[in-house]
Amino acid sequence: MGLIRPVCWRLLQAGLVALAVATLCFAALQAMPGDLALRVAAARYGEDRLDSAMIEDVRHAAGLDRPVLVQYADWLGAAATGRVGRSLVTDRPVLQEIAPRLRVTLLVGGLGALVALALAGPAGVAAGRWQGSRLDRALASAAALLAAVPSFVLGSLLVAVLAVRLHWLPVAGSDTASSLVLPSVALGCALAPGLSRVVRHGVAASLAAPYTRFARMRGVSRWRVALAIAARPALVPMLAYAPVLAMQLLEGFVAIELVFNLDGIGLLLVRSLLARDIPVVMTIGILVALLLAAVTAATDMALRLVDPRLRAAAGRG
Amino acid sequence: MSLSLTRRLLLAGAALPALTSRFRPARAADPVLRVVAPWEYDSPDPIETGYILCRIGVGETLVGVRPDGQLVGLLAESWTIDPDHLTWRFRLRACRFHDGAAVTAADVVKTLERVRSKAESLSAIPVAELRAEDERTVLIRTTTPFAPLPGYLTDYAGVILAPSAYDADGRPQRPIATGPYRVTALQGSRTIDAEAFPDYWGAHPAIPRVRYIAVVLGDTRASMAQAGEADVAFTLLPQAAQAIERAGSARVLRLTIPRPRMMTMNLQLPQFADVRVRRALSLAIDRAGIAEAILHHPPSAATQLLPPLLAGWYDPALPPLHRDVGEAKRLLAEAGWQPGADGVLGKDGQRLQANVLVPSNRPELPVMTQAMQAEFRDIGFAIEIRPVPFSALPAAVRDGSLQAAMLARTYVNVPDPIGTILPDFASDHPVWTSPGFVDPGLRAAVQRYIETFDEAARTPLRKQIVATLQDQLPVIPVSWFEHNAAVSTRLAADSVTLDPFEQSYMLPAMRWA
Repeated sequence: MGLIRPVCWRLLQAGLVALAVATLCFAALQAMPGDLALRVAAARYGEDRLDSAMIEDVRHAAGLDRPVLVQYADWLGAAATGRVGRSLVTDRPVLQEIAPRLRVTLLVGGLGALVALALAGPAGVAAGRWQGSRLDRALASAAALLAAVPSFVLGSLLVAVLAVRLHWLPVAGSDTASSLVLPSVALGCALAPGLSRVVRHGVAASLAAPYTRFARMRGVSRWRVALAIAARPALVPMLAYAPVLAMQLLEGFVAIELVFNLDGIGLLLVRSLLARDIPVVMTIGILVALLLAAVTAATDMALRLVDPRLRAAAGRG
Repeated sequence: MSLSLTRRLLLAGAALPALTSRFRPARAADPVLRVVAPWEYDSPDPIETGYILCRIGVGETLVGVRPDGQLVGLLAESWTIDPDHLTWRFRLRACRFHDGAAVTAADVVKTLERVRSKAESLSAIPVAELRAEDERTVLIRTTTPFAPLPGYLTDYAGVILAPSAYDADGRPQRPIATGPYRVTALQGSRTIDAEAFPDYWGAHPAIPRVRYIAVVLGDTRASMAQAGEADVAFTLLPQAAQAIERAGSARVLRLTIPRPRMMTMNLQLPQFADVRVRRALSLAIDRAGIAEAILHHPPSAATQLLPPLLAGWYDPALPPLHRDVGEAKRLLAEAGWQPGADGVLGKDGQRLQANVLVPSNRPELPVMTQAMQAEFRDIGFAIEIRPVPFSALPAAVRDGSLQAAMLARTYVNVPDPIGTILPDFASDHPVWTSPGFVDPGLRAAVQRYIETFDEAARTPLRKQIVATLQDQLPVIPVSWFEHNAAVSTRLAADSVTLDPFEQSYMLPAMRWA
């Protein structure tokens, strides 16, 4: 019973966010400079081959000559019943365009998040445990350096060294397990600095908390304190960081897809924006909004499980 | 403890290459020809992606073009024109689609009927009648004599597909065509696997299996060529091509092709209406410097609109476009333009200045335009560079707001550049190039050229058209385009050829070294 209200609230929020995102996407596409029909026709037939008749043909066939509000209302009405239409460029169903690419994005994104955890977890715990030490300062410097390198540059460096020079891994693609290593590492490296700082602060705060010091004074071993007493509170900021991590994953993905030639959702979005492929852009926008809403909701649930204060607060509420 | 840890780390480090070698991509023993290019196969419709099918040898049109510009029959084994100069008959080869069905004239007519109104080149043919005259003869009757018709049939939109390639609504769904390779697998829009088609009517490919990989980013294509993951990587950035050559990991082939980078102007504006101003602007440009310093390919410096490769459309007797700042200033003075207080010329209250739209789709164009901005300033012409999405160009041409623009435009959508010259310089509604350019002599020459079937009579018409464009400069050519490819040493050097018409990657002729 306690969960029903927050779940319903989250669902309502997700729906409103999706509607807002769709509206913003549509408005942004309409506000962009250049002729919308021409962009679609150029993406479809190639810029060298365009003539006025082709552009007008596309304008009429895609319904771009209708009033803007009618176009918006039509698409939204159809989307509400699950029909998001066909791509203006490829004429394939939008969901057919998105599904295989979403799979690639989620796969590499998941692997990237694991790499980020593998890097940031130990580094953050070590820095938090030995706060103020040389190790802490060294890890902070390394994190700052890594955060300053754009993922595009980092990806290119990894390719230049590990693929082109050493021939250890493939340059590009997503059809073999080995081809997923470099993009996952590049993505993970881009996410690790922020995450490691969060872990560090969580661990440091937890180790400095009165309950931890009290346990140590009572003679509980250091490892037992770390694992049984300090770990759980330290998890709270890490979990709360999950939506930020998800957002960073999505942002970082375009560069990673470009460098490693992954056929994912990021490049599809960029291409569709350039081509003014309205149904694809709006569907991706809604999908991303729903995904982020799902991550946020899952984070809330997880936090309630981990943090008794939240459960207590919810109970009082 | 620390010694033991160090030893373990060393051992682990030594083992890493061995472990990762399990994941190395197959290379030397891989029998598949791996072709890398920027273009994604994101639609099964040849109107949109037929050029990929043609380039990798999966699709064929009725007529093709050899790298030397000669037309060759692909699905059409021969063609004839009646004495009325209106009725064409294309005799088909006895050949089969990749699904085993025989190619019939009805299949060809079905394809052409579907695409001809939507494809730029094919839609320019004044078709009065299109039908299958018998099982293997396609008849095309035009309303007016149209001599370049066979060349127009090289348009990739006219790739002939099998009846089984279409869905119930008549939309193409599968690339079932007639080329020397047939598709065995499609992975998204990025990878096409194909194998030699055993029933192909012509010579069979030397390498039986091919994989086409679309790689959007030029740097990644270059890295794949350097890492040995691509046997041929097309369309490299000039710097990347130089790096590959320096590394010696692959050979780089280069070819100057008929895609001039040029400045187009609104000739209805007083700044550009006078041909002396256009000539002065042309004389101000250091084409050799731009080709050397920005494009890293000195042969790219344009001396006229089209490069020597198009022998019929390149006239070596024409005085080449060159730099002569003194002559440029003299021409402007002769045209009545006088220096203002800030060095910019003026005439009758009109300053010699313009906004130049620079589309964002070609990274070299903004840099080239900046170089030209400094050179124009030397003769008193001020330009303001405005980066725009490329679609802003035709929109500006259409609504009359265009002042000037830089663009790269291909003149071989069909093998005969007349296919682009006609809409660009002899039409009342140009899409990309200089609005307001009307030259009755040129229009008459273009019309006569289209209606003339005698090659001997066409040669002087070509020369007249080229000379007029060089003299009147409705567009100011700056450089030609460099088509290039990195070729693996796995391939025999003499088996790889670049096609200046960009219609084919010539894969069937490639063989292993």
